[in-house]
Amino acid sequence: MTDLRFDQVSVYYPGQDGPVLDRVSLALAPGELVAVIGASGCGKTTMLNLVAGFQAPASGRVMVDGRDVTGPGADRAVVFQDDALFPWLDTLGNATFAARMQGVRRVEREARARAVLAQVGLAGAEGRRIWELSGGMRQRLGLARALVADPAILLLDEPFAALDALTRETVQELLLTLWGKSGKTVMLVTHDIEEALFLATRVIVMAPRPGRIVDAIKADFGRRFLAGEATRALKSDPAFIRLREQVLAGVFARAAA
Amino acid sequence: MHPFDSQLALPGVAEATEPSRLPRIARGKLLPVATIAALLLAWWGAAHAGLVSPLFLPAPEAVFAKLVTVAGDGFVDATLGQHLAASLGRMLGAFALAVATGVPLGLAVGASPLVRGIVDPLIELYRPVPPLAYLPLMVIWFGIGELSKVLLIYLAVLAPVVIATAAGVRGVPRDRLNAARALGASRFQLGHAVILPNALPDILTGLRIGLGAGWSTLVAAELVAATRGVGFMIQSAAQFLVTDVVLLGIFVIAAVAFALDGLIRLAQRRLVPWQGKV
Repeated sequence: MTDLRFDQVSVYYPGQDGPVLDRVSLALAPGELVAVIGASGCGKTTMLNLVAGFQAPASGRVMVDGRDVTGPGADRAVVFQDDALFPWLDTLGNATFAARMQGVRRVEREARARAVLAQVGLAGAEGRRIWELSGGMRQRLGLARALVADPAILLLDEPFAALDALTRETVQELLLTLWGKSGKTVMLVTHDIEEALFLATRVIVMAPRPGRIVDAIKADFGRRFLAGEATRALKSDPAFIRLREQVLAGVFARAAA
Repeated sequence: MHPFDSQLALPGVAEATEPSRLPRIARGKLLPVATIAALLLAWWGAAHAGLVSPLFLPAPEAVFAKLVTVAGDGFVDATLGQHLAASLGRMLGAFALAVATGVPLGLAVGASPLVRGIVDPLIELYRPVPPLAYLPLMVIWFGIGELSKVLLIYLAVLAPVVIATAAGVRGVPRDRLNAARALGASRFQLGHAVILPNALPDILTGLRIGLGAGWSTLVAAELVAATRGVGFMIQSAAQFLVTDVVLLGIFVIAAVAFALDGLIRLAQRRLVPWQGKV
């Protein structure tokens, strides 16, 4: 159980007038699943990169469990949009990567990876090469690879954007199930409003120029899914639709302005 | 019959289906084999019709017969096998040397701007110069023995290997690197667990280009100063106007080049099966 804080964080990119992120503050409670949403250029991926340690803030602090982030680490695993799998490794090899980097013995790391692969529905695919996997399976493997690292925080950068609607929904359900079981803190960056509302306990709406947080909406559809309610019923719930329109209006109004 | 079916018989429609048939044949082995068979036939016809003197164009079967005698009895003090062994020995020696030095150098060039700044201009300076242009210099410096030849081939192989390896190192997708870092890979681990395997397809492409460049340089080198080798055999035969041995030598060179390239392609399929798939 790990908490995450942004404290007055600003980021500038060379050649751009105005900050990409302007004094952004945000706190994620342990076990929270927060979705960050906004038009392109609002800095949502930059927020994720800051937590991952891929880049550093110009000012302000990014802290995990009260300690400043100084670089990438296996305590903050990332799942990317274009899966970023390693093609020279098979499915099992990709899943064991983090454990191999940690120096875990082969027998042990393969047992760990097989267990996680089974959780994401990839049991039996261990020996497959990654170009033999479908888009949905590759994204499951991306998730499994991150989970084998047993990170305190799971960072998801538009992980399901490239999937077709049906596959996307099953992988969303899988993510909720895994989150429910593990209780990990999750930060999800997406441009899909339905996805954000369905998965997150809190949806953070951002606006561009300068990148800032303009709204935060609490939601409980993910928890209701875990409590047994059906996905379609939840996504057509009047409360869901009302919130969706509210977020949509907010994002559009800021994007047009 | 459907009323519109008659339209299929229109000449324009029939012609439109024609081009799709040819590529299917061309994609197979049929067309290349037919081309070579036609060439052989034309050669055979020209030689037997008495159009060209055998001095200039010996018949195919005469060249084949020569293959048997040169393989057995030899030509200018060495059998074909000995000539070939001399050529392959130089080639593979230089190639091994170029791989052993070029791959690490390429990795360093790709990883370090400092090394790149030093090595890049050197390679770009000599790479565009045809090896035959600096062969005389190599002979002046290193004599007419094996050293100058091996060095010449080495230089021809080195440039493509270094350039391709460096490109492979620099071409690692950022997401792939970041993914590995977020999975706990240290800087050292990134090198051998991500950057090296990621560069492998480029390295093998560099080896393939280098092998081709080296082989053509080798034959040229043997034309100038050698006592054994396929290139030397051709050169000696040409001086005595033994045209069938000249042709034989050319075929042997082509066959070896083809075989070496096939070996590298086999290695590519085995070692980097993901190339072009992801």
